[in-house]
Amino acid sequence: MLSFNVLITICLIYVGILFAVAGWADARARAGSAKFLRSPIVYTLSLSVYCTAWTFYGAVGSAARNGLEFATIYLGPTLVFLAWWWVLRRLVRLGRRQRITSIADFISSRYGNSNIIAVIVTLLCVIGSTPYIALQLQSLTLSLGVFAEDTQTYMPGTAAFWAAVGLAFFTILFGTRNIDANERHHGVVSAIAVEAIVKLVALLSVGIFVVWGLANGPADILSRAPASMSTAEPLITPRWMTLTFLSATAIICLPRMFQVLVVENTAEEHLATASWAFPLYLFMLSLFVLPIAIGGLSFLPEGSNPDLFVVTLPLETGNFSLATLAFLGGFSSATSMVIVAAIALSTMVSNHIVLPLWIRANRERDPQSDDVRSLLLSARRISIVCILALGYLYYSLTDGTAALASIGLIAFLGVAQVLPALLGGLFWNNATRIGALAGILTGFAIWAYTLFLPSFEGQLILGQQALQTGPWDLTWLRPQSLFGSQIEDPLVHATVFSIGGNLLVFVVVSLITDPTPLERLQAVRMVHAQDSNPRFRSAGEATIEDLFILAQRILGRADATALFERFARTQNRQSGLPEYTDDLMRVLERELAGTVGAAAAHAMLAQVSGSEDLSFEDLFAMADETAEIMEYSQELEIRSRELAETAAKLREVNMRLTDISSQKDAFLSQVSHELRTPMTSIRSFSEIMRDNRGTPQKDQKRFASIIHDESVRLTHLLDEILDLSFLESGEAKLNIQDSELSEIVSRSLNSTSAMAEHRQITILTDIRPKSMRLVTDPNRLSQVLINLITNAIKYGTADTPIVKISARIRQSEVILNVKDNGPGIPPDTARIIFEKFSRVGQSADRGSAGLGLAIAREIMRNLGGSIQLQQSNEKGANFELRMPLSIAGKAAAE
Amino acid sequence: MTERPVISQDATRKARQSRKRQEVALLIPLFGAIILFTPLLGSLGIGGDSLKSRFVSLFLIWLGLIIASFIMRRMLRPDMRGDD
Repeated sequence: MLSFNVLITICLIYVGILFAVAGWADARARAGSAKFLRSPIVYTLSLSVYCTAWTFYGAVGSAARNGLEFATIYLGPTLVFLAWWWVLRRLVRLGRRQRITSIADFISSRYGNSNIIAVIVTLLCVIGSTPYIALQLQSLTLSLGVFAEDTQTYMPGTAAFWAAVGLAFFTILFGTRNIDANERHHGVVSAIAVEAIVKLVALLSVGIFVVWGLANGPADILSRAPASMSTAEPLITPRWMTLTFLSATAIICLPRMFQVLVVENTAEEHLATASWAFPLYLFMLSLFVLPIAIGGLSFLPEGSNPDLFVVTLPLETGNFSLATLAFLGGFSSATSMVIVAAIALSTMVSNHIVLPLWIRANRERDPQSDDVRSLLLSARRISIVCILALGYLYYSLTDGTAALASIGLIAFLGVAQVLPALLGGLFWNNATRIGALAGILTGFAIWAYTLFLPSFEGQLILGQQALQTGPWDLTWLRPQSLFGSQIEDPLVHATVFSIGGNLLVFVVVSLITDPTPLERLQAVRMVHAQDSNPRFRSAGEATIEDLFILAQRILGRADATALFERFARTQNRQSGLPEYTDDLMRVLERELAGTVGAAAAHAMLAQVSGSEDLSFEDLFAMADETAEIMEYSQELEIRSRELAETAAKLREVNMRLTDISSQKDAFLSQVSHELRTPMTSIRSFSEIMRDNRGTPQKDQKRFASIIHDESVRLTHLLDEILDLSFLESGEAKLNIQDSELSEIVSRSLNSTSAMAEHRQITILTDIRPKSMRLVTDPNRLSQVLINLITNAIKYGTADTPIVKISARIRQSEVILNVKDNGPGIPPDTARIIFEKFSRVGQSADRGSAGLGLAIAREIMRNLGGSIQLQQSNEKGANFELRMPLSIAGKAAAE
Repeated sequence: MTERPVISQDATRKARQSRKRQEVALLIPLFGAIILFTPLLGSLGIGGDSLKSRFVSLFLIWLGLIIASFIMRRMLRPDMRGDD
């Protein structure tokens, strides 16, 4: 018989080797030469932390009791790994990109960094893992007890205590060496990889020993199976499906599995290898489970504990070294599970419970003065000790073996409550924080009520009475038969109701609640993580096709194609896309920046290439940039519109000003010219009269009359100017009254009759109807007519000069024409005859200042009418006046 | 012929093939789940009632799925470029 002390020594040496491996791996990783550590094989082996002592020893026990059912614990993970491309890859990628530290962290960051979810998941995991850790301690002590020579002196409690202390020491040493940004632990992972090999070798060795050593090959050992193992019951029962489901869930949701699967993953490529290698590992591990169970039942005395067959079979048959190897396999299973679970849980506890509490407690203090790092490290170390202490406490309190054996599956289901929130968060955009929280809490409550509390068989909260007939005798509330369901197996019952309830509440609450903006952002990032980026890529490199597609979306098909073709040509490629170069990336980023802004372009390329995570800084920069651009362009638009309006107004005003200014200049020069001529005569003649005293009386009189005439002309001119300015400004006083047109015309003819007679000009009038009533100022209208008639007489140079005045009514307007048969007005002069100081022809008499027509136009404007020069082929000038009829006049006209 | 259609045809052909491979990658776990997770296997009479035949058929299916997954991983290699 192997000495117990020798076994302890071997065990210590083994632990020493593990320490050495972990220390070496940590040193290599720090030195940066950890290529071996980053191999897919190490990653795959580290996943074997799934196989705990419970599976190492318990699988054989389960096979001895229930036949092939043990396989479900391995088939679930196998199925999940077969679906790695669709589920695990997404999980691992997001975990790496978002620098996720634990499953609580993952779920909380998906739901908008909700700390309450993180705390609840953490508590759930601690509650689920504590009995599990206790189970490992129990397996260790049980298997160690097998080797004890004297079972009386063997103290399992002491062994468990020292095991817990040793594990805590190892975990603290290698698990909290530093606060790595990625929470990766190369030392621990390497040690676990070694343990994985030991586990596998141990189980395979025992299996081979049983099949070919004790029995005569596979056929022989299988034929030794007791009859009870062959049943007519179908292989796949609701219990089988439940167990497969739970084990599939466990591989994702258990904190230690999430730790090795997602957090410790250094390259997505490793997952690809693990997709077949890990199922193969599980396959090999379970290949000999059934033969060992059958061997134990056939070769060991009846009543032997099937859970220890792996150790007792070689031990009882005298194969001590194999028994030691088997023990080391079990030891490895237990320790690796405890170490990784402690690391994962301590990370969760320190990050989601201790740190937030500390921050809240120290809100007043200057955060700069405290080292959060050292706080986290000590929090993690203390957490590890506490978690192991909890496990040990649980082990000591239960003290029994039966209660512990079933706790593994109970813990699985407890942790499985995280699954709907996790998968929903990965694949469902509308999953909300409140929905996830409600789902988890509902599932957790149903799990506690239907499975966890009943597992204490009436000792905890739910009494025997409540278990049998339901609380307060409400039979539909019986914990193991909710709503009168007839599911016999409590595990199946609890799984159906807790997961079903969880899922239902999660979906319904998510649908009726709205996510916060941060949740929405995270949902988009997580749910659509792969959509835009279907390629599997672990290095920071986008495929050229991705870049091309991205460029097409933003630049448009033609521009993007032209750009890529240009690059392809510079690389001397005849067809297809160009090679990926930094130059191409730079140019592409610049081109995209021109369309979407620099921050957005950078973020997009970073996202497509997967080279770096899209940080919040990037997003904020993007949002700021977009907002700025939008604001800026809006402002620009408004400004440019305002500017255009102002410019148009200014142009108009300027034009008017220039007009007015030139008019003023012209007016002033005309006025000064007009004034100058009479003033010159007045001055000259008055000087003669002053200086030459001997001027004859007759001349004096003549000079004085010239001075007088010129003064009158001046006065007349000034009167006209004054009159015009009054008329133009609209300040002229008008004496509007009901008048008869024919009277006004005859008054005007009277005023000009002398002049007409003098020039021998015939004036004809033709006014039809005879009576036309106007509302007008008769004096002013007469002034216009006199002006026109005088002009017509003045220019009446024909042989028999005739002036014809005619009036008609047309559409409630009076049209009055003053027409002569003189030389007429040439077209280029016609344009300016109504301007001030304009005279027609050089022969104009000096008596006119050229203001007559300008005044006439202003009068007509003031009277609400108009004056125009009618152009026609007939000889002579034809002025046409238009003015409105009075109401009475209109009535008469109609 | 210009280079333009060459680029887009090449890209779309590659994308289509990649999509096909990924769809096949979904078929394997689906098939595995139907065989190992639903009572289909038993109702088809595969494995029989004896422990021996059940053991053999279960482990053969299991091994078959692992091999399929191994082949699939090789097929998906073009869709996964680069290593850390």
